[in-house]
Amino acid sequence: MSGDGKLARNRWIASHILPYEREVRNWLRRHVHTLTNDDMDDLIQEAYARLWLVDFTQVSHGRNYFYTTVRNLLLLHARRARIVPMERLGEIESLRIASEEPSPERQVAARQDLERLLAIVEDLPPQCQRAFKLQKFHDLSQKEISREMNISEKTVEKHLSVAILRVLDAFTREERAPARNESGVGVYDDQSQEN
Amino acid sequence: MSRVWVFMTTNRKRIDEHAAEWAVRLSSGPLSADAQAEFDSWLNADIRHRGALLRVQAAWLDVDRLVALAGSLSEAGPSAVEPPSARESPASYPTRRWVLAAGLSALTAGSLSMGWWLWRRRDEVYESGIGEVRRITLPDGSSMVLNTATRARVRFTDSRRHVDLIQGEAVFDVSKDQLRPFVVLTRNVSVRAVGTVFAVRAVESDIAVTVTEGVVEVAPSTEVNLTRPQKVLADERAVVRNAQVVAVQSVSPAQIQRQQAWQDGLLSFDGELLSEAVAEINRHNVRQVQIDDVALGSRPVVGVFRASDIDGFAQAVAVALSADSMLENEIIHLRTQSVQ
Repeated sequence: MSGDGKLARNRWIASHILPYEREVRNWLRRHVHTLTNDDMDDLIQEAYARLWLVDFTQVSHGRNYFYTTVRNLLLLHARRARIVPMERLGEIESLRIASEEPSPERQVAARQDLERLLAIVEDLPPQCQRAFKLQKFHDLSQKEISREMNISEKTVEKHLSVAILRVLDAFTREERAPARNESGVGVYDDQSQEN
Repeated sequence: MSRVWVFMTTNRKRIDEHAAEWAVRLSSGPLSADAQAEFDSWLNADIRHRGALLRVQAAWLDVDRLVALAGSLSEAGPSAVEPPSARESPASYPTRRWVLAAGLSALTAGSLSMGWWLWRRRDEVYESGIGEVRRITLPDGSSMVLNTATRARVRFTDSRRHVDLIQGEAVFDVSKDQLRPFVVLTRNVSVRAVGTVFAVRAVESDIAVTVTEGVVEVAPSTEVNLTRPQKVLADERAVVRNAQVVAVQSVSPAQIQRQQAWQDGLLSFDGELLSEAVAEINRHNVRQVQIDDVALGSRPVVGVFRASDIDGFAQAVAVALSADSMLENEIIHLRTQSVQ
């Protein structure tokens, strides 16, 4: 796929799949009680992986596509595991895709997203926050950030990747990383990166 | 009750971390050969790696979207002209987006002012699904009717009214406002109106602009306007190909009405080729018609059909043109009847 194609696909995922991830997770949590958090993460990652080769221009409704993919994966794994009683398979098969919840008005939603983003950024460790702001708000390249902050480019990358994961988690998971060391991100120490 | 399934790999949080690192590295430009090899082997090691990468990349872009949103808020207000605070502005590098940073600091200053910014700005994306026709009233009283599978972004400020027609076809009925021109942007063409009714179609590779009332100006290239905009009058249609206005034809009101019958859920054909009619009705339906022989595709079609009734269309065509119609996997095949 060309660079443009990838960008278009990623944009499509950002606008048609990502906004529904939290909803899909809630739906899974409500209906499949046996699912652990790790199972759910695996399932979600696998659902995204299916989008790698999909001709997204042919997908008319991202939300339904996301639900259907997750449900099919659930079935696939349930069959493979062979430990699932048959009636449970039936249950999964008959899982109804939740009808679209009345969403807040777009403006309100955008405002909430923006507020949340700013709050998350304010919560980042100082160095990490500075790198993220320089990149995303000031449009500096990683090389420029590295000079500006007097740290290695490798460290800039580390800061940025921590920041984006925090943002992603906050947008797609129900709770905001309650146990810091559970997310793997919490144990990251902002100041001890340079050695 | 045990878990539904167990995956082989453990330590999945590492996947997210690696995915985030790769997403960041990929965002800063092409990888070195070594890094590319490392990336490829990571990517292919587990199907979930691809998923995790796509997810982070999508989030990365989503931040850009929100930042752009915040940035454009600053267009509307006075704080746009103030540079960002010293702490946020790097000393040795010019801040390319200082206007945006100002917008952000204005936002963080208080949610009250943020509400106001957001209220001032009316930036919304409207979409119609396949087979759907949506009529939308815009904040200035203008209206926009979206044909099937169409997306448009509406960006209104105090000084301009912009609509990005991202894909599809729409009819605009623009209310007069001399101070705020109404501009429809699609691909690299801008269509500027003051108070008119006109349609923009960006479905085929050519872009068609049809004017029902008043005058519009069609200008290829929205960035730097080197060419003079082309005036298009009522009952005319301009065709733009490769960022050039290649034709301005006159069209009769009856023709326009027929071509815009989709607004009433109808498709009206008057001698169009079957292949064109099929392309048109396919846009409105999930189930598709396919013409299996070329000769059939070049037969003319006359008639009015419900846009959503693709079965009825296929049936009528089959009867009128002595063709066979057969449904297979949500595709209706049309082929000339074989002579017995």
